Amino acid sequence: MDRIDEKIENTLKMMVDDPPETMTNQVMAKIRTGKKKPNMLWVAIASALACSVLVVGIVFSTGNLFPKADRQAAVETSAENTPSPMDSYAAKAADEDKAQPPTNSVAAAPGENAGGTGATERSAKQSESRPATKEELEELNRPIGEDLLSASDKLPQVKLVSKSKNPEELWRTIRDNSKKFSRMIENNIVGDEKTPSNKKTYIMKVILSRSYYKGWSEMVKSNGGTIEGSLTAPETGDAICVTITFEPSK
Amino acid sequence: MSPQEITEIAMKIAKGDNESFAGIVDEYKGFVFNFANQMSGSRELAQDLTQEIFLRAFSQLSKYKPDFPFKSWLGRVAYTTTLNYLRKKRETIAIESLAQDSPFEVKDDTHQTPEDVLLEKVTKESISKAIATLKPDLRAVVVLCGIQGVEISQAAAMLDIPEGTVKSRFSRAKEDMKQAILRTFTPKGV
Repeated sequence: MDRIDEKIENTLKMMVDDPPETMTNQVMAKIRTGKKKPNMLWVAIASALACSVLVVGIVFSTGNLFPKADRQAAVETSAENTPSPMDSYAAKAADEDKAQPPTNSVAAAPGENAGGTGATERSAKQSESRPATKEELEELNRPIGEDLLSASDKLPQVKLVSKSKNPEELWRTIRDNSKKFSRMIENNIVGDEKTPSNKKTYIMKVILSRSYYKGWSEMVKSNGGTIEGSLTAPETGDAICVTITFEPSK
Repeated sequence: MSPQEITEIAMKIAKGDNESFAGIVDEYKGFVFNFANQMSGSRELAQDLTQEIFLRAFSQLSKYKPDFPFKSWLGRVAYTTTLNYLRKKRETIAIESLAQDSPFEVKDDTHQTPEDVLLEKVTKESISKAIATLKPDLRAVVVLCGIQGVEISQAAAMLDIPEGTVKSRFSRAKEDMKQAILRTFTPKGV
């Protein structure tokens, strides 16, 4: 062994580094919150099996997947009348837009935009006139995936500051509108009032697909909120999670 | 920690006592963290990676068989998790940074041979950078056998390769590191 090899080996032995003192706590915290990811191979196999069983069931129950006459009718219908998936999506989005007040006028500061204030009131009435159903409350209180929650700690913490003097209304508006931008993701939104309603701080976690991210941030701004902090979506993955601390200005 | 102790902990976890895993973390956190640290080249990344490795070990602990040394089993978990992590993150450390960080300087000493000059430059920092230039399979051998002092046979079990391959990879890695250090202190165009 030459001198250089010996020096390299001796130096290597001195390179052992102490782990951080909190390492055990960090790991145990991860274990407490972490969940096993589903094995996608088994998920795919299970899905394929379920589809096969369904097709076989249909064939056995009807004797044929499509009787000849129905098959002809189906071809004609699909060619002439059935809207494309994009048409269906556009129509659904248009319906939802009609049902909701325009977001760019919902939460302007009082005196700054009369239309905006009116819209805020309408929105608040919409939210308050009908008590939330049990399902809606459950959905709101349903915890999002623990793995996502733990992952959210690493994502940008977004602070939302409102000009509105009525924080409850604005918070509700933003919460309700956020669903519009995050419906593609399951377990996508949780709104928790961390403090009693006479206090003015709310916490909200939103998980958005990247495609909805821009629309969501614009919606927040058009509702009188300003966003502080980095809004750069991560380059990998198809979802982001932001924590919003909603603090109306005094 | 003996395989029997590990099996007892695995049984406790199966009964819902997840906290008993802390004993394993305490015992092996140094080994796992150092492996992750040198493989990733970043102390911050190593903390995340260490958590991933232990989380995976925790979820796979029921599959551990006591006839296999636990450290070797954990080492294999660490190696596969790290490889996946590096592939996913596509973490690479540019070799150019070596040249930038270490300007060429040779003392005007006619009594010094090139070997003497190189010997002076073999420091923790230069070796760390040279390790970062190695391919992950070579890097793993250096980290295990060179830094952590793991026996060749144990490293072979961890990496799931024959002992002879560990030895040859270790020699190749040392040669590659030597060349990387040499390149660092050789001015461009010479």
